[in-house]
Amino acid sequence: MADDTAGNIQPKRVELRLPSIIGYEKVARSAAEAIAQQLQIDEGRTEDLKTAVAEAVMNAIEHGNDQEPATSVTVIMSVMSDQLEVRVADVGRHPIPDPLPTPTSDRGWGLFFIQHLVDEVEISQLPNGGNQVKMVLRFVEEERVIKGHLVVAEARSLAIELAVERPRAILPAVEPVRAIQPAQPQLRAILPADSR
Amino acid sequence: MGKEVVQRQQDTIGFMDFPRDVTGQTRETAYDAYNTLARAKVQAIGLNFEASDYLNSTGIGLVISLVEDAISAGRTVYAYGLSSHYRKLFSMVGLTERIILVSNETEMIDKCRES
Repeated sequence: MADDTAGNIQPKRVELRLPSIIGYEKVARSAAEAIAQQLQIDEGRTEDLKTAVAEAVMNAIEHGNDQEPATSVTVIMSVMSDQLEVRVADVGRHPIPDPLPTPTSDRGWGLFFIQHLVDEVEISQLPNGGNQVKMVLRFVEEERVIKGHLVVAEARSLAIELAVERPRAILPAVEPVRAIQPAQPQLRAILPADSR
Repeated sequence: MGKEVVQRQQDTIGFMDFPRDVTGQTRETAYDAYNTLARAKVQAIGLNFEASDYLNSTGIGLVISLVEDAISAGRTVYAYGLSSHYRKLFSMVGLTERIILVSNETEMIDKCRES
């Protein structure tokens, strides 16, 4: 499941399939925290990542999947040599608005936080009609070197399936990865963070 | 730890003790607590997040609503118990311009007495 050459286990790809039930965003948040800790990402950036991931999953549950019990949210976290990518995909019951809405006093802050807490955000529509939010946290130099070994991108995947009672509705695991190449026409938003 | 917001009162100061998770599901009990304090005509409200370790965007939106209501009614709002991360999020949404962040309840009470 992981590269153990550095003496510590480093999963390279973690996949979660979460039911569309409010509260399960905390599962993704915990997974993001565990991975960030393994990568020795500092506490502040880990908290930023946790919030961004939780908000993306919440959006997927509430809007993308309309809290429909037969649907699930797919979260794929991939450790690259220089960055951590997190992709959150839903089934697209409601598309993510384009342009993104401006937050009102008490609504709409989720996407705002996502945009400002990670280094890069891409919002796209998958071929199956689902929404995908890809978030990138780029490593600073000291995070890239884990106990003297560079993290390498090639690795086997670790799939964790949590509370999936209706597997027929789950998004194909490989689909989001193929669908989010930067040059693809359906990519409609690249939002660099401006507050770091 | 429950999921409800609990209100307390000390003279003209009201306190709202937030639960571990502050989300959209917190709204009803938060407003029950706030309305109780408003009826008691407190002049300052302390938002106590010492037990909170997860505030999502809906929960922060709820805090914004409460702060707007309190300020429009002439009350001073304090907040304490926030981690540095949530202090940052409060700053990002503009809350820190409208409330007074303090480190704990004692500091809040001291500031209320000074004002």
